[in-house]
This record gives sequence, structure tokens and C-alpha cells, in this order.
Amino acid sequence: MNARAGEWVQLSPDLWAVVHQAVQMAAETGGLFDPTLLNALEAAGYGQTFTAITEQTAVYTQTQPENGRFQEIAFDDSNRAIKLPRGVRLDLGGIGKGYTAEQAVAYLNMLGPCLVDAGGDLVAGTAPRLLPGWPVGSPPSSLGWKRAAIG
Amino acid sequence: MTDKMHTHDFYAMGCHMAVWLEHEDMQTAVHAFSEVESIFTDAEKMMSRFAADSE
Repeated sequence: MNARAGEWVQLSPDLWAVVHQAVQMAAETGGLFDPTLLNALEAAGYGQTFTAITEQTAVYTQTQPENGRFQEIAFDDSNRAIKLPRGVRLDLGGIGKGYTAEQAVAYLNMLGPCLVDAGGDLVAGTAPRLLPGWPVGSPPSSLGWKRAAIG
Repeated sequence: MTDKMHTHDFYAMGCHMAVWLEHEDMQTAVHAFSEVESIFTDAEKMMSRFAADSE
């Protein structure tokens, strides 16, 4: 998708949904949430996974990032296609993780009470049967858990 | 809480993931956790900016 900025690109249903949500969130927050920050992220040194980044690689290069142009993204609903403005690339890292956690909870909720912690992004399904909600904080040691449900 | 609460940890999307499921049958929970890992793996393949073959 990013490699074909300037062209119409047909997306899979899931990617279509995530991009739609991302642009909607950008509009609703007036650009405080902006999925078009990929060039700026890379310019700041985040061109690798977080585990691969070192202090030496995370150096801002003072380039002119093409961010803040989410309003120029064109959607073709009938063909599930989008066209990014030339030079614009999307970073769906944050919203994609949340979207996927919601998908996981939607699946798990069919089986029983559930909770997904996606690297700190929490999505809660139905509460445990004997509790009014998911507990927050450290549970009593008598329960024998190794982890708190929500840290 | 009951002793039927199952939990599973794994690594995906550059993060540590943890999942809890309350269910009577452990095998069902184990299968469900495997499915959840697949959900994240598939999403990562689709959306990762670090994978050249991502969508």
C-alpha cells in the first residue's frame, strides 16, 4: 500500500477497516492522532523495530516529513480501494495493534470471559463470572496468580 | 475469580502480549490461545512496516 502511493490500491477487508478507522480517528482528533507519520518516524530514527533501535540510530535527520495529510487520502468504498497522496505513507502500528486486540477479544468472548493485553493496550471482554468486572491492581496472593490482570 | 482462569503470554507486533480466558476446559483454552496468536501473527504480516511483503 505505502509503496504505491499515488495509485488506487485495493485492500483486504481487515486493512480497509483499519485504515478507515485510522483516518476517522485523525479527523475526530483534528490530527492529534495521525496515521501519516511514518516518514516522520523514520526521519526520527524509528526505521527499525524497537528491539533493533539503539541510541545511536535514533537521530532526527531534519527531513521534511509528509505527515498531516490524512484528509487527502481518497477512498473508493465500492471497490474497497484507497489512494494515498504521493509521498505519504501510513504507519498503522498503534491502531493496528488495538484493532487486532479487539478481534482477539471478539473471538475469545464466544468462549468465555476474557482479557487481552497487547503490549499495554488493554481490551476487556466479559468480566469473570464471580466478579463485577476485571480487577485492577495486584490480586491477593491467596489466588495464586503469577500476574495481575491489569498492571 | 475461579481456578478456571487460563492465561497465555507471547510476543507479537514488537510487544509482549498476554491473554486471559475463563473456561472450564484447559484444552479449549489452549486451542483458543493458539488461535489468538494466529490472529496477531496474521495481522502483523498484513500491517507490519518492517516486512517487505506486508500488504
